[in-house]
This record gives sequence, C-alpha cells and structure tokens, in this order.
Amino acid sequence: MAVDVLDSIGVIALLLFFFGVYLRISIWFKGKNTSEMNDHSLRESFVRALKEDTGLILKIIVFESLFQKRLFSISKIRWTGHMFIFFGFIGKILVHWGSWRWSLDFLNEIFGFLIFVGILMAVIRRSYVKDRSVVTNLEDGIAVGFLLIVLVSGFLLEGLRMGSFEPESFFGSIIGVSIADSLDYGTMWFIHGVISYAFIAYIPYGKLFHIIASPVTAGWTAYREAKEYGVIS
Amino acid sequence: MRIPIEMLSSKNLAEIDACMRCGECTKLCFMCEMDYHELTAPRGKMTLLRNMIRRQYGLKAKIFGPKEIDEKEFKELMEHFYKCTICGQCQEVCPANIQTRESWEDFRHALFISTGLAPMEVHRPFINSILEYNNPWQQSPTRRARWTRRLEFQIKKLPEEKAQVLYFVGCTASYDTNIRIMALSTARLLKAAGVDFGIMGNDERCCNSTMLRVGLKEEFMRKSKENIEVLNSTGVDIIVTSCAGCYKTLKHDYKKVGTIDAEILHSVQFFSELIEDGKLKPISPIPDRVAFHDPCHLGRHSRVFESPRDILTAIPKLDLVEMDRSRKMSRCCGAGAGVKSAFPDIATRAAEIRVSDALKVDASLLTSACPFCYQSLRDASLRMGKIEMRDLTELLIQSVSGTK
Repeated sequence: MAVDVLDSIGVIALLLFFFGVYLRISIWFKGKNTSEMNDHSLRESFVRALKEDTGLILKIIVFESLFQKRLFSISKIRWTGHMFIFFGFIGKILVHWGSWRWSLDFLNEIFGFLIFVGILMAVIRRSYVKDRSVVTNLEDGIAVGFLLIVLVSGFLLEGLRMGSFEPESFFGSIIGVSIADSLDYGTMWFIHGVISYAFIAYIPYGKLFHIIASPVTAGWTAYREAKEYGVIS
Repeated sequence: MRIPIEMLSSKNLAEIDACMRCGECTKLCFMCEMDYHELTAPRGKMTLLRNMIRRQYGLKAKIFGPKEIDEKEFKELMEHFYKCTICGQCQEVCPANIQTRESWEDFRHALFISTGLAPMEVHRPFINSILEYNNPWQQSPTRRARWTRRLEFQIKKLPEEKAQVLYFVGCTASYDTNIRIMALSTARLLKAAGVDFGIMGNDERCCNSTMLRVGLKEEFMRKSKENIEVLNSTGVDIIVTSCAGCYKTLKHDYKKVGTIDAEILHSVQFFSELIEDGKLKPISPIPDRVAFHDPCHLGRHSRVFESPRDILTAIPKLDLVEMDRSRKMSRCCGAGAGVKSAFPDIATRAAEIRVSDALKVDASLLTSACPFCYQSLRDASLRMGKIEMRDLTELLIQSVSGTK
C-alpha cells in the first residue's frame, strides 16, 4: 500500500520536475537573436558542432561541466565541497539504480558522508564568511536546507534499518535504536521517500536549477571560446 | 513595460538562469569595490533580470497573465548595466562561465537600445560623431593623419600605394595630441624594423568599437561591413594596430560581420615577433622598475598576456614587476564601454586605484598597450605624482633608437 502511494508521489514529482524544466528551458528558446551564430539556427549550430568537434565537446563535458574545472581554479575549498555534494548524489543515484544490496550498505554511506561534509562546508562558509559577496537569502536557505533534510532522513532510515538487524555495525544504528520507539522503519522509509521526491520536484523551481543551467553555459561558453582562441580559456 | 526577450539569444537566457549568485564576481568587480550596490554586482543584475523575466514569462505569468515591469525599476537596472566597463573580470571568475564579455553588450542592445531607452544622452555625441565623421572625437576626417607631420619620414598611403602591412592607427592615437606619441612610436618602430608598411591616412575609419560597447549592434554591423570592404581594398597581408580596443574589435567582433582577408595583430604581438627574429634590437638600457597594466581588450578579451611582457623583458636593465592584480585578474583602468563619459568620477577614481597598484610594488614607470588606458592612467599618475605613465611602444622605441 505504502509502496503504491510512494510510487504515485514519485510519478507526480517527476512530472513536476519535467514540467518545471520545460517551463524554464522554453524561456531560453524564446530568445531569437542568432547573430553570434552567424544566423544559423540553434539546432543547426548544435548539430554541426557535435559532428565537427565531437572530441572537443566530450572533453568540455567532462572537464568543464562534470568536474567543474573553473570552480577548481577559483576556489579549491568551494570545489571540494561542491564535488562532495555533486558526486555524492551522482553516486547515490547510481547505487540506487544499480540496487546492488552490498553496495547500498557500504557505498551509500560513503556517498552520504561526503554529501554531509559538503553541506557542512557550505553552511560554515555561509555562516562565517562575512563578506558582501556571500549573501544568503531564502532561496539559498531552502536549497541547502532541502539537501540536509533529504540526507538526514536518509541517515535515520539507514540507522533504523541497521538498528533492527545488526545493532553494533554503524554509528547510525545507535541513532536508529534510539528513535526506534517513536518511528518504525516503514514510516521512516515513507518519509524519506516523500522528502526525496519533493526535492526532485523542487529542482527546477529554485536555486537548484543551476544543476541544469550552469553546466550548459559552462560548456557552451567553453566551446565558443575554444573555437575563438584555440584554447579553453 | 514588457521585456523584449526575443531580442536576446538562447545563450543569454540560459546564462540568466545559470547564475547561482555565488558572488565570486562581486568580490573582484572593480565597480563594486568603488560604488557598491547589489545591482552594480554582476550577480545582482542577473538576479533582477531573472525575476523580471519570470514575472512576465514564468508559470504565474502563464496562468494569471504577465505582470507589468515598472519603467522606473527598469531604468534603474539600465543605469547599472551602463555602470560597467565590460572589463570581463566577472567572466574570469564565474564558475558557470557566463560569457559576460559578450553578454553585457547583448543585454544593452536587447533590453535598452531596442526599447529606445538607450543610448544614454552622454553617449550620443560620440555615436553621432562616428556616424558622421568616422571617429568618436567630433574631429574632421581631414585631420586624422595630421600626426604624421611630426615624423621624420614619409609613410605610404594605402590603398593608393601598396604595402605588406597596414598600420591601423585608431581614432584616439590619431587625434588626441597627448596620445599621438603612440602612433609616432609605432610608426618609428615599424620603420626601424624595415617593415614594408603604410597607413590609410584620412581614409581610415573608426573601428566602431564604441557603438558595439554601448549596445548599438545594428549600426555597428552596418558600419563595420563597410569598413571590412575598405580594409580589404588595401590588399595587405597583415593589419597591425596599437590600440587594444581596435584590436579586439577587428580581430574578434568583425568575425560576426564578415571576413578580413589579412591577419590582425596587436603591435605588441608584431613587435615581440620582430624582436625574436632579430629585426628589432632593443639595445639601450632602461633602468627602471616597470609595471605593465593589461588592457582588458588585449588581455582578458583577446588572451594576449605574454607578448607585452616579452618585449619588456627584452629591454636591457628593465625590471619588470607584476602588480598584485595582473593578467587575467588585472584591475580595469575604469574608462571603457562608455563609463568615462557617463560616470567620470568613477572612471577617475578607478584609474587612481590602478596607479596605486603600481605604486604598491614600487614601480617608477607604469606602461600599457591601449590609448584609452594610457589616457586615464596618465592623467591619474600626473595627479598622484611619483610615477610616470608611458606607452609600451614609447619604451621600446627609446631602447631601440637610444633616444628618449
């Protein structure tokens, strides 16, 4: 029963996600100025670039968009924190999709820990850097808070799972045992599921949309400038 | 009012969404340093623009209809868009690589020129002058080649005569009596190296950089198309210019308009090659501590960082010193993209801050490779004393010829 309900929530969340992404990207396509592409349409330019510069584009996707080379050169600390969160989530998604049971136990916790450290770094930076360049408003708060809630609920769930089977194995299990009286595994599983789906649905509506937009512009500019200057600047 | 987003490109609109307000740009923007306002910061402009676009094109707008943008709010945004020299520092530190070096011009054109709010009143005389006299300084085209009278030799006049190299002098070095020294030094160096060169004299036209920088794209395209034809009529192999602004425009911006048949080089690139080939020999020592200011259009915009330094290190006894912020992180002199005319106080202070950078590293000479930077930094260094501003070509000809 709970599984069916959560699946339905998941479908709604994904629909909201894709609808949100569609809404935002459809605004991009309202821009009709193609002068920078010498009047080729966006599609023509894109297809031609893919055909002519496959190697360059792959390199850009890996270094500029995935490994965020620019952030690395700007701030090693910010890059480390960001990588922890980004690859932590990528890792978790892969682990969940792969649904290898052994990997859930081990890798899932490693990735969770990395994300936790990443979020902690972001919170510390935002709390202690007293510089007008670092401004935290509601949108930033929601983004970081949402990440944290997804993660903490996941930890609790994992704690409960382990607490119920092998109580000494994991730090989380201690928390798990301690909250086991008030929450059972099934309820926590449902809560974590709802929170995670809500997180996915929220991505295109707030700051987290940069997950999609920023790699696009980072790659796009890098490609244009590589063609202009001969190097990725 | 309505935001004409169709005048922007898809990339511009993606960039507005890509800004995550991390504030790296705000830390290094020299304009924020001097005149902080959240809207002066690149991220502030992006955020407000995103909110405005959402108000008119977002989900709520789709359901309940678009909200009008208050014209006063839009005009305030415009002022901040024009309070920017488009120095490109923000792009250099943007993790999302928002291509502000181009996009700020795109925004000026799409949002303010196309809605009739810009160009600003103060920019109109410059624009009208380019349209009418082919130079922004309201000078007669018949006086453009006057600077050559101070030369001790004759220069070929293209396209009537033929040469391998065209020296594209640019408006500022041609007309400003304080800056003519740049044109004179460049011509003397070309002569000293035995280069077969000529100029277009009074037929040379403005590169139209000013128009593009303030957002007048259509006028820029039209005038530049004509200019490309004129330049191609000279039949030269190489076009050399001593102006960073002209260089960026001819080399990079003209590609969007047409094709120049010749190779485009900044004089620092050309001279550093001539030194390497042994055709220019800097022999007289210049025993000074020299700081080089990277012009935005030469450095960040065109990625030419080493050539000027190669020239300076080739001069005997010259002690080249790097300022705290140089190369990609060079602080702007504060003059470009219409700021000097629209916000003269800011431009003046920016130049003084840049001269202070040089003083902090105990430089006795400040040098650069752009007439506009030269103009601002020279005025600031005269006011502040203790340091002299000289163009790089001046130093090189002094070392090559042994005369000051």
